[in-house]
Amino acid sequence: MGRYAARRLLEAIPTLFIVSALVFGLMRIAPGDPAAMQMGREAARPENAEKLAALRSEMKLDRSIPVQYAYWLSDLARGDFGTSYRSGRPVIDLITEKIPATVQLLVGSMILALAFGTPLAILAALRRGSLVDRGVMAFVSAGLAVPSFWLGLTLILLLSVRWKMLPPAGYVSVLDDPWTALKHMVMPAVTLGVYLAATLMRFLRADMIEVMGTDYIRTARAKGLRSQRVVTGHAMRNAMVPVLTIAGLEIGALLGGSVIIEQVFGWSGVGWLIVQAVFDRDYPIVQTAVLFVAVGLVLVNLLVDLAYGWLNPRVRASYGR
Amino acid sequence: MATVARQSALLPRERTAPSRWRQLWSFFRDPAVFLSSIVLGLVLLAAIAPSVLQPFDPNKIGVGPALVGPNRTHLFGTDDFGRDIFSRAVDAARLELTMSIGGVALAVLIGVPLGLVAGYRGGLADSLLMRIQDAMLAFPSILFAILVVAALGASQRSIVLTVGAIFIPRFARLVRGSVLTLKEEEFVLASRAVGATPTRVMARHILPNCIAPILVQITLTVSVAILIEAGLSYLGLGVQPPAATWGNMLKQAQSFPRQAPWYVIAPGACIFFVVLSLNLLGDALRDRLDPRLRRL
Repeated sequence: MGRYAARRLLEAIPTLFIVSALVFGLMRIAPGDPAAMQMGREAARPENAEKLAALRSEMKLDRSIPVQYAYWLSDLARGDFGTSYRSGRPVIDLITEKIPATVQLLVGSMILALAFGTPLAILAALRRGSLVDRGVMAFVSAGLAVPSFWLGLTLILLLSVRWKMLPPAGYVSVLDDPWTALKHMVMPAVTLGVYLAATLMRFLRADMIEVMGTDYIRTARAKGLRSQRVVTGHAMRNAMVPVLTIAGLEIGALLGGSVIIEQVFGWSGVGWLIVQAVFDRDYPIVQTAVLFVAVGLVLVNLLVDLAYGWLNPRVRASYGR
Repeated sequence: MATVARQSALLPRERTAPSRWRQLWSFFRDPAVFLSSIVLGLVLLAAIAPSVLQPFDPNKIGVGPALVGPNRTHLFGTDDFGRDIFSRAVDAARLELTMSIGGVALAVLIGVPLGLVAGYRGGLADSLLMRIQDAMLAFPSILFAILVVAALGASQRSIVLTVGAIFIPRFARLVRGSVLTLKEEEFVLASRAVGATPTRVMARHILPNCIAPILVQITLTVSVAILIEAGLSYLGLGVQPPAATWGNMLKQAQSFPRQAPWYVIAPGACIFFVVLSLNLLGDALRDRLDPRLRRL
């Protein structure tokens, strides 16, 4: 296990470098002079030309791109993520402020997807071709095709505008006021959770069908175990392993989805911050926030891989060779 | 594949596979495939000859009163400028298809050769490709798209580039996987043994055997491309109005939840049915062409 973990960790390092280079490169292509944007309106005045030049050299903008990249990396390593052009505040503060909102949304939709998807997928697998199974398959097809923002807007139209059951927008922390937070969270979490639920159900159903056809399930049945025990004790345990992996890997898709969902529901999380910053041309925020998300995902994928290796010794073995 | 073909040639005629037309017919008889093909056929028609379907000029302001609900003259109602929503939805098809198909074409043209070389040659090119793939997978697609649009500006060109960049590694990886198994096959070894150059082996023997999974992937990828484009347009980072896309129509529609709830329905339904049709068609194609990849 140690060897496998070490190897996967080593592989993640070049990936992280490529990720950071991509983010940096793209932000350097973006139009505009970062120094001028940092100074704001003052930069346009002729008497400030000298100041501007000084700032440019302080920001290393007069150096070559690879050198700038190296400086940027060393800044990152020292925990200096730059300041927002617009508010002048450190980017890191702006991002960490928004993280709880996004985490709350992600966790909510994950719980919803797992709680709703797992039992239905298992039921569908056990009764192939039944009404439940066909319903699940229809939900999977629809869930993978529906544009999330459209689903969100439709929910708002029905539940907020027409029936006035739920608030249409806004983020309330679950720590401040759990009940109000819950009411605010229902629609965004459902909207975001549909895609995850559909993906999970698709794989879990397929895995369950495969596992239920294996010899050890037949053995368990033959020795007289109640079918409930066979399903929960034997089949689910094996079918859940790939499902957990998928849940981990889909965190990326979920984060991507949250960028749009946060916009639909005025949910001021990290995605909302990024989109706002793109409109404001506040590149330090975009650069750092996207980097955070990407690095976070590399680490999550790494953890998922390690967990998978831990749960499934065959994977480890194939790496050891 | 080649050996299978050789064997079937030895069998009596009547026992060979049914004719191509019959195969095609049995494929289209599947209701999911049939309905998907009709939807996609309509979208294709809308993209190629929009005026056949459009009752009104999509960009003309005031062809009807502003924000009236669906009725006989205005099938999907009118928007806040009094433009016909149905005509605009039809008009959007061309942009959606050119951008998503353009992006996917770019990904195929670059990704497939990359995957071929990486899989066949292995070594440094291969490990570099895999690392880039890992790095790309670290970005949620929509976030990567936002990054590119922030850098290059919101335009058709940057959307095509983005979609291309997102999918290049996926096609490369798919082809690489097929190549790794194919290059150990006897017909490839035989061709190398008689002195065929690597280029010839890749182009004549390996590539033709990768076509099926590539075709399936293209169908499924175009649908994801449409969703990415729609998401960008909805955020206001896609093609800018007055040009109509389903995403930017939805963005405009959300300003009138009380006065015009129907405005939200039409553009979203367009995205939904096109993506659903592409997915169903892709799944059916996969079951038909490449049973190894079949999912339950």
